[in-house]
Amino acid sequence: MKDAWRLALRNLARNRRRNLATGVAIAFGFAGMMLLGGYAIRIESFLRTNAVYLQRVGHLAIYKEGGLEKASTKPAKYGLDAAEQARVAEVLAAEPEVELTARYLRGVGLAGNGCKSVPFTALGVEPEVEARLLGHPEVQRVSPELARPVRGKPLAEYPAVDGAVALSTGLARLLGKSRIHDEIAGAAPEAGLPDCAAPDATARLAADANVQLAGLTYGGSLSAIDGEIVNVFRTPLAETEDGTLVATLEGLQRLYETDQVTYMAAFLKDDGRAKALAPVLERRLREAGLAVSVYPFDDERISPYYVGSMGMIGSIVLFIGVLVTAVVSLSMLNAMTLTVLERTREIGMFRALGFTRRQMLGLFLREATALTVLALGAGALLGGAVAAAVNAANIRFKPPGISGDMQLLITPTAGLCLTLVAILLPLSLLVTLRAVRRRTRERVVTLLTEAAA
Amino acid sequence: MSGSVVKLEEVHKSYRLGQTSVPALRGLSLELRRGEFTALVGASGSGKSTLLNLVGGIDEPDSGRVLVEGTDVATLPDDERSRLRNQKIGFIFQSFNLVPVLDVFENVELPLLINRRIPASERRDRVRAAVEDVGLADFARHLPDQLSGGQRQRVAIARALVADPLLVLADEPTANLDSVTTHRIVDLMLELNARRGVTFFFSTHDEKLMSRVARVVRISDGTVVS
Repeated sequence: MKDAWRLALRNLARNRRRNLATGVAIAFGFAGMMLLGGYAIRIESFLRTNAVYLQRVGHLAIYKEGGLEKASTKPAKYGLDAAEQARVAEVLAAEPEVELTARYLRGVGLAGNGCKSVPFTALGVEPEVEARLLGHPEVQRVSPELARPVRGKPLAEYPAVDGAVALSTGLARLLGKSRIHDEIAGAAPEAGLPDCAAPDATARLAADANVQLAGLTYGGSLSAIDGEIVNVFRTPLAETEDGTLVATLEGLQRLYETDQVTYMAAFLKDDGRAKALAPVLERRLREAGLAVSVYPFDDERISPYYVGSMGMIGSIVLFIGVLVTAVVSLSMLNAMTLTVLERTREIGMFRALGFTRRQMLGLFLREATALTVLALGAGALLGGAVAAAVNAANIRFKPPGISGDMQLLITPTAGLCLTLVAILLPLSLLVTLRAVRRRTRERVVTLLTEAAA
Repeated sequence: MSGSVVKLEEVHKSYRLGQTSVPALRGLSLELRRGEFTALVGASGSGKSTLLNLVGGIDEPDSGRVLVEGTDVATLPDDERSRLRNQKIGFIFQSFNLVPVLDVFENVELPLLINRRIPASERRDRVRAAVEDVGLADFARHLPDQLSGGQRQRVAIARALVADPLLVLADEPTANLDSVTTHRIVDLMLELNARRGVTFFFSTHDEKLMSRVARVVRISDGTVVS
């Protein structure tokens, strides 16, 4: 066995230029796929983290049955009341795979500055849970910029501020609110209605961090509360940048005069378990008498941007992967076909000495294995070096649909590399088998005499 | 000398050349006995190589039987035939057929690598002995392209003998060598034949070698003429 490997390695020294060219094709193919895969992994991780933690979908979103589609139009009917929230929380607490549970209230309304009103989509959050989510290691690792407010501090740090709210940067801009609570040193809003036509109206509106929030209560009447802007943040998606507001759950419930929440979210210890756990959890919740539906974060109805983007990226990776695989396969096929042609007489000689067909195949397969493994190793080093260089260069870009920019990071994982090896190595052996098998099955005399001819 | 090593009975073999069938052997019968040193002589196209190929089990007759130690080679499955070649037959090729990336020692070692029952230490001893037998002990770590034609053929002889075969077949082993080297190679084969008792059967068209061998088989148009 050892001798066969030794012979295979020695044979690689023949036709060095051809083997080098083949090895380079494999190495570049592997490095290319490693970089592309590493980029896709980074984007997936970024979009997943944004969807799960920053859009607060959770790994599993629990809605009252039909609530996902109808809670926006009939919130009172399709929201989860306090008793239901308690029962859901109880079931989730008993599930060891759940790391954290959160309650969310979604609503719409108008935010005003005294001179103009801007429509908003609000999310009511529990500040302590929110603080844990934004500080979650996964969020800090993958999307720290979006987790950090552009100005100000997280809601949880303002327990004494009545009506503390956070505005998306676009909404704050539209309302002319360029300052936040911490920057106005406790200045109270101007009494009475501001003179919106005055030349200094813009400056006067920007002088405080107060906004008025208006919305329809769950009972159908108009309601309004005062809000104090404690931070300004960027939303994960550009399309929500001009109209998103985050308030405390208690504050938003006060606005809508309800104790309900729109949905509850379960954050899991393991991302990969969401799909499998959703039906299990839904069954348990139903067994507990709750008419609810549980959606994993990668359900298109819950995270259309994540699912759509990953579908597109997956298609691109697949397309390029097929091309690279074809190039690698053809390079290997070409190299091994030529090798076998050149060594036909040698195959005959080996067979004459008593080597069986299987042993001859084994010899060439060992050569192919050695060449492929060496090339894959070189490709891994090359890919790793390029990824490290790109990451160190701090290249920033603006992905479509994402607010703000992000660093171009390439994060190939050991799993990705092993998957590529698991694809390319057997493929290389298969094409070698294809190139060699027919030759080794020929009669020995044909091998010896054809080559001589 | 005693016992039949090889026996050919009414062997026919023809090749296809386009639409035409060209007969190479026409009902050839022949017997080689243990320890014989036999030269196979004949003009080009007389069937010498075909005969050697059939005896060596690397080709099959159209009809007739080729028996090696009583076993009909053509009836053996491919793996069995490979085993027979490995354990009972040594080949010496006209163009040496050495593996260029292996040194002398490793080239000679090749037939022994197949038989896994031979321990590494015994393998090394046998290779060393074979290399010494052909006078290349000082060249054991040389690659084939660092050797002369005569030295390369010595390596091929050592390789043919290392597995301790019953029979060594050599197809024009001296065709690519000058006359001095040719005689040295034949001397070596004769010496090994005498010392080891191995049966040698080699083809040649060099008439000068005829006087040096015990038995000459002449072949013409696919049949033995003397």
